[in-house]
Amino acid sequence: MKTILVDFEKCVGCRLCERACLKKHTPEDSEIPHEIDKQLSKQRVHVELAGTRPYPLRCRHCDDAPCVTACMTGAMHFDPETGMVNVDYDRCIACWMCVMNCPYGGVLPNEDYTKVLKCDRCLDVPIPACVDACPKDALVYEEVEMRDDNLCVGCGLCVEVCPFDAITMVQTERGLKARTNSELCRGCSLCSTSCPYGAIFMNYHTTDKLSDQIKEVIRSY
Amino acid sequence: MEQQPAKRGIFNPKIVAFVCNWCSSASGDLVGPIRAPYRGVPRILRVLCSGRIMADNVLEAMEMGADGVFVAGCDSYECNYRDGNFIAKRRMHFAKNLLKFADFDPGRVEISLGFLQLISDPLEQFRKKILKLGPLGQSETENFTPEDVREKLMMARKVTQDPEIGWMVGKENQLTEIGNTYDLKISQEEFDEMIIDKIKHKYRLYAVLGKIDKIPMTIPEIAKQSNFPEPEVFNLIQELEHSGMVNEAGLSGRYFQYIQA
Repeated sequence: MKTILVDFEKCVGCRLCERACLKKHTPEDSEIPHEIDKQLSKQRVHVELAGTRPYPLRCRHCDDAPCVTACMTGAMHFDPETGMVNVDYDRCIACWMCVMNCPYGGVLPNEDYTKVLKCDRCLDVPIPACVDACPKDALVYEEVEMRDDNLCVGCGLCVEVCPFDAITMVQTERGLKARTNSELCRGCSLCSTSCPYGAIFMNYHTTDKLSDQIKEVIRSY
Repeated sequence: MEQQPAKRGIFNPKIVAFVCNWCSSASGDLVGPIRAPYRGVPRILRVLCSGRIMADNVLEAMEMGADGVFVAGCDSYECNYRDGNFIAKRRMHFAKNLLKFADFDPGRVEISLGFLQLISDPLEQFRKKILKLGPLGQSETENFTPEDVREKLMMARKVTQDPEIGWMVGKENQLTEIGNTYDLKISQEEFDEMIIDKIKHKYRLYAVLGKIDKIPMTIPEIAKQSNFPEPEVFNLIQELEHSGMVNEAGLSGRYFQYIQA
């Protein structure tokens, strides 16, 4: 599964992603304002301060999205083909239930408060505009699950474990290797934990992050 | 949520609970509105699937100071990821075997699948159990110093990270329920015996490897330090050398010296 990932420590708060997003979602002949008003603009990514560090807030296209559950007209829907949460603008009645329910601040009203705006992942271009504009590589468009072919021995444990049949064994020059179909992968990380050789690792919810969580949780006692 | 302030001198067990995103986490959210009694406040960590938790994570939590680890997953055939909860069950079974082998009480790890009641009830029962057992390494059957506990857990973690052990735990379902390529099945008891034999072997292997991590030694020296017979140490060193974990480091008298790669 390919998605937009954020490296919190690399973000410097330059807000170029906001500007790129605004440019992408504005018709070509209209002007882009020099000063971006945070509340009244068309961009779908917002850089906010998290404590003292800047952080780009954007829609995460959740599997079990709270905005979809909250939407009363069915305008907000999960698209199983692309794995994205999309808005049907004919149905949106601007009740702001999704704005209230989004835990990440990824859904916001538009400039004249008539429809909601959220990330559509710029499907017509290969790389989303915000990722393309980021000078520090804090925003990246990557696979959720990564694998190291040098460590893979082709035992096939991950193929058995995968609940979505996304992994297949492929004959390569260096023997049998596992390959993931990124359209079918939903990022559950069962394969990465069952690999005895550590050849598969999750790009986002890594084992290091889990151990950091355990450490902080025990320190709080 | 009923929260009791920790009193001095009274044992407050440190419990880490890994809960599955799709059922037990929602059940945990219900505890607040219903105002169910919920003492001691176990620390809850949400994961996408209970199959995300490895035996290594459990031992890691204990190494960092947890007295008990609780894993909660979905009901038997209702996992969001087909069979993640069964995978979790098998891994926790392995973790219990490993803890038993390392002389800890296996009751410090518990997995609960598909509880129909609130998550606070099984957590409360688990907390009572841990209260009875006492802090890690200080129950009736365990009597270790904190250094001993750390050493034992470090050893156990090395064993869980071994590829051969990981492969056996991963293949458990196929070997005991589906059958291998020749349609041969083995019973659960047989498999448990096999994996305990393997754990025993790996413990000896890593004990030998631990002796030669910094200073090169000959086989008689290792045998004297680790109390293993010389032929066995020779076999273990050969196995380690074959897998590339040990290198030769010159001669001492008429014996070869070995050091960790």
